[in-house]
Amino acid sequence: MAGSRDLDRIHGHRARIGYTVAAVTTEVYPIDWYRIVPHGVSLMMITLPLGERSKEDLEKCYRISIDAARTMAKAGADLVVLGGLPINISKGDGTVEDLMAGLSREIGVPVSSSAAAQVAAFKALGARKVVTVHPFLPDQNPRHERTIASFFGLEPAGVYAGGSNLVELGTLPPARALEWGRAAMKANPGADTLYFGCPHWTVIDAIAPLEAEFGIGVMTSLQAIAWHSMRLAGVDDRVPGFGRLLSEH
Amino acid sequence: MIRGDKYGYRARIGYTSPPLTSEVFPYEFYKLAPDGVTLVITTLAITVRSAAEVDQSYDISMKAAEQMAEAGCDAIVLGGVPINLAKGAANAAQIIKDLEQKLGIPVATSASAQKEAFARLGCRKLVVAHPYKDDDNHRFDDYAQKFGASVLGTRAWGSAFNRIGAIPDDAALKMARELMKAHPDADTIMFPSPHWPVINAIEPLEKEFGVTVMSSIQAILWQAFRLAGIKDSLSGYGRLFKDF
Repeated sequence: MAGSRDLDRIHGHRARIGYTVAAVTTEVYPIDWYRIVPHGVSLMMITLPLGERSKEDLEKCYRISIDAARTMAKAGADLVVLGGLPINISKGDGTVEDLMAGLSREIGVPVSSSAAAQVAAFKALGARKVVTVHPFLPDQNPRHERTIASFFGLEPAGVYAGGSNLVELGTLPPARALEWGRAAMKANPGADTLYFGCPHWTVIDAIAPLEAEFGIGVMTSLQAIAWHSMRLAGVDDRVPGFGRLLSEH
Repeated sequence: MIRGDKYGYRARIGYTSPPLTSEVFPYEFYKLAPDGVTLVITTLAITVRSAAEVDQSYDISMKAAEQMAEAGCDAIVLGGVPINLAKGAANAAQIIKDLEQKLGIPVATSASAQKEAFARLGCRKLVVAHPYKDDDNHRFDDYAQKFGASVLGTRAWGSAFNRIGAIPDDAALKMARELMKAHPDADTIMFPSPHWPVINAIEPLEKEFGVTVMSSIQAILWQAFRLAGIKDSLSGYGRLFKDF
């Protein structure tokens, strides 16, 4: 709630972060975003028509993301983050940095991506051997395993599929991430990092308990994006309660 | 203790948000909504409110409503009065009926929510403070007439459509005070558009001038909550949420 001292300020008086949401509807992302970020850091978002991640879907979302970045810059965003790892890397693993640099030059605002945020977060946590938990069906496991190895350059230690789908993501209770994280660590005890993919399900309450229980680093897509966005926008607050990444880096 | 239930354990509200990017709406939604009530949002295509963007947004709204119902939303509000009324008021009313029948959940539009709020609050003589430029003033005269009220005076903050997220928190308060000074006979202060910061102005203005404040975001959320079975009397955000 804004206090009287904030009345002459805008909502995003510390930083306004543009973000392209890789989903037709979004529910969890803004809730968890505002639980993490300090007062005065706002989220400017656009939802993308991502369906079943077909090639056509990804290309369409890629094009809309670029247009949205231009719109966000005109609207006054301090930073634009392109969401959706599959969209970010749809033109190939090595193309993301060129995309961000070119777009940033064009729109005059720093541009990053959820992919870059997660690279930076894995590095900050010193991740080497990563077990992945995602909420979707097991048919997505190979894609996650490939991404950990080929895009992030880390050792995949296992993948756990929650068995849900895009439509049901908003109905997953926070306890589910804790259960799935425990199951993944039990099956893959050699991992040094537990990674929760996809920022559109409720994960952030599981981070600190799992770090404490297993003595590992826990990195989630949303946590990494919020952390990376804040740091790039000059918001250096250490945020307690959502893992080492936000409290120590 | 980690929660065993979903975030939206009381109600999940679907909303199609007209601007291409959304910033203020979700922020104010969560200031106002009780715990357990969540927002499921789809952004539409409006950047300058052209006819082509309005048509495109209308089409996206229809598809998004289906996806929101499939995702389990308890009620849906189709945002954007210009989009709602793009094919006429009769069509807007018919769409609500057709979608409710097809999707099996309550549906409203921003226009229907505001009309209902106007009627409940008994708004007759309005002053209107809006975020846009002066050349938009006439739109709100038209809306007021549709909602059965008349406009005594209007103030425009002067923002371009794509810059309304950068309007300071006290803009609504300042414009409303100027309007009430110029038009003390007004019974209602209206804040159209749910995409600029207004909710912190509602309660102070109702107390200061003894009038009703009716804002788009307040009407949309009030209608959505009530349709989804959330009947809580909420304090701090005006008569509409407290008394109706």
